[in-house]
Amino acid sequence: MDDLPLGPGAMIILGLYALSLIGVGLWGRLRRAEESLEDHYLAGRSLGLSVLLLTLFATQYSGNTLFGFTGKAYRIGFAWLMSVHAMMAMVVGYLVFAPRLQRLARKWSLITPGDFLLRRFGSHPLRILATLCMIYALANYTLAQLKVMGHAVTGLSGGRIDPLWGVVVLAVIMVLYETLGGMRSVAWTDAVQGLLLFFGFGLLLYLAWTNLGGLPSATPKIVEQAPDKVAVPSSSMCVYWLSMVVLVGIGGSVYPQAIQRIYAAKSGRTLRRSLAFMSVMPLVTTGAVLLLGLIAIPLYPGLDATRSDQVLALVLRDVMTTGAFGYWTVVVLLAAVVAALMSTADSALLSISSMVVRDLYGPYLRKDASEAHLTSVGKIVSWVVIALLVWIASLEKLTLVRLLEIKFEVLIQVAPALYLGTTWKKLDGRAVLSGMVVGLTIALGLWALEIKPLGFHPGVAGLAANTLVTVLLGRFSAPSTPLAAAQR
Amino acid sequence: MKHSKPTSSQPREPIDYPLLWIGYGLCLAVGIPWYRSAGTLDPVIAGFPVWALVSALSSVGIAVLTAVAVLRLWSDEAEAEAEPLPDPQDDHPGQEPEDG
Repeated sequence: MDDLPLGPGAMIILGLYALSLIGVGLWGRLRRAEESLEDHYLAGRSLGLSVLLLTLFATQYSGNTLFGFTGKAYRIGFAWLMSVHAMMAMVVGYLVFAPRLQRLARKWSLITPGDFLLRRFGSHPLRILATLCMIYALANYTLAQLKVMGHAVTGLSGGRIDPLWGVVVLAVIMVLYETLGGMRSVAWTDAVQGLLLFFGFGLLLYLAWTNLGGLPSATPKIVEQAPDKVAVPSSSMCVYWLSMVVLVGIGGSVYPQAIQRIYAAKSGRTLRRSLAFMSVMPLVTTGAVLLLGLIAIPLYPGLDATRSDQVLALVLRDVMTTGAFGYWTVVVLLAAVVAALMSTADSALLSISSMVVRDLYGPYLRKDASEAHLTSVGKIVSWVVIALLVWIASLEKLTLVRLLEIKFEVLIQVAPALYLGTTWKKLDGRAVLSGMVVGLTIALGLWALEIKPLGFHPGVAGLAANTLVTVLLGRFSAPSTPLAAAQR
Repeated sequence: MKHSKPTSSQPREPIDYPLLWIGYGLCLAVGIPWYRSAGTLDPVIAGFPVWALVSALSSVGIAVLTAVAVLRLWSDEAEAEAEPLPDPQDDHPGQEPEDG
């Protein structure tokens, strides 16, 4: 991305976009009803259909995912159809718990997933452990966006802006509008970039198809160059496929920022319609990325694993040379990628801030704090966290790189608490906590030892153990809630 | 933990319909080509080998099932009639929900 031949026009687009974000931040500040956690983190539970579906869409698809998915399609070929299944599985996962959780969010005034866990199970250790898992996963996710953000800005500036300065400037803008307007600002910026991304990728696919040759002309060439990318996948690839669907589908469905959008929906009807839109989006966006990666295989043969991650940049370079339309399409698309990275990062950052103040600081360090105080502390937390993550992202040699890989493996261990907690009325918190501890231990242990049992991801193996322990203990132990005790 | 078919007075949710989840399972089972011989080069239709076309169609099936589920199997009435989960902060006996 760093060496695309872009001129000053691209910088103007980026500058205008950055200014518009500040404007959205100020607008969000003016629209706030009160200095409360519900208003700052959930926009007062007032997100309507158009904003909700676009912010759900933008939250699910990040710029980094799009670049990474194109590279993956290039490397493994048609088997990367698994990515479409995996992104759809996230929405399917919502169907299990979202209906009930959305109702409970209003009834119990839920702000974070940890709120639900405490109200449902009455267990502080469970809430703390789950919150720490979610904060870790989101910090990891935000870090990944920041690392790519710098290179995207360098690319848009034609190499004029250093990646570090690009990250710092964008991070400051991001925290500024988030601090000013909270979820309102975040959701509205998500809506704008969601539209940019949607149309940008549609345009790119059209140009790639018409100017670079579509899939029908690419596939015979792929058969000649790399037949394994077209042939029926091996059994180990099929196991990896199933594991990916489970890991991303279930793990992704419990992203805290997505759960908070369930909380923030104006109504159940608004949420349903948004999810109906989300159910078809993987066919369009993930499908488009898959097709681009496949078309790139015969065009740029022999790329190694590192360079293949940049195959989308190579496609963009060639599309740019097709004419003025191609050039401006690429500029808009790159701006959309930067916007996608920022919207993913700001949603995750806002969620981290909410969990720190609502699930850790407020209940255990300042029990008597007012909502206004907690909201203020939450804003300070956002600034501190982003400064720390920008510093980590700037490190030349990230020795902790392996820790970046285990986002879903950790996050998925929270899923049984949500899935079973909303559907199994007599499930006890001790069973859930035990399952979560067992699941984390197994997932992290297998990951550290680089073991994939039967070809499944460590997180999936951990989830299986987690669920088994939760169900067995839940079946055979008596609930310990005050309600159950009063009935014995 | 079992979910029986909801009566007219109970809220409807996608999880209450076993056929929906059987449908998802079938789509995924067909979409992942575990039942085909690895390494086979299929005929190509519109740029897709046949096994990949089947997989892509299974994705369409999942999308359709999900859209039907959220629009038809999830009732708005649920907001007013929701049967509550046990609340550890609730000290009133007699609100013990049915076994789920």
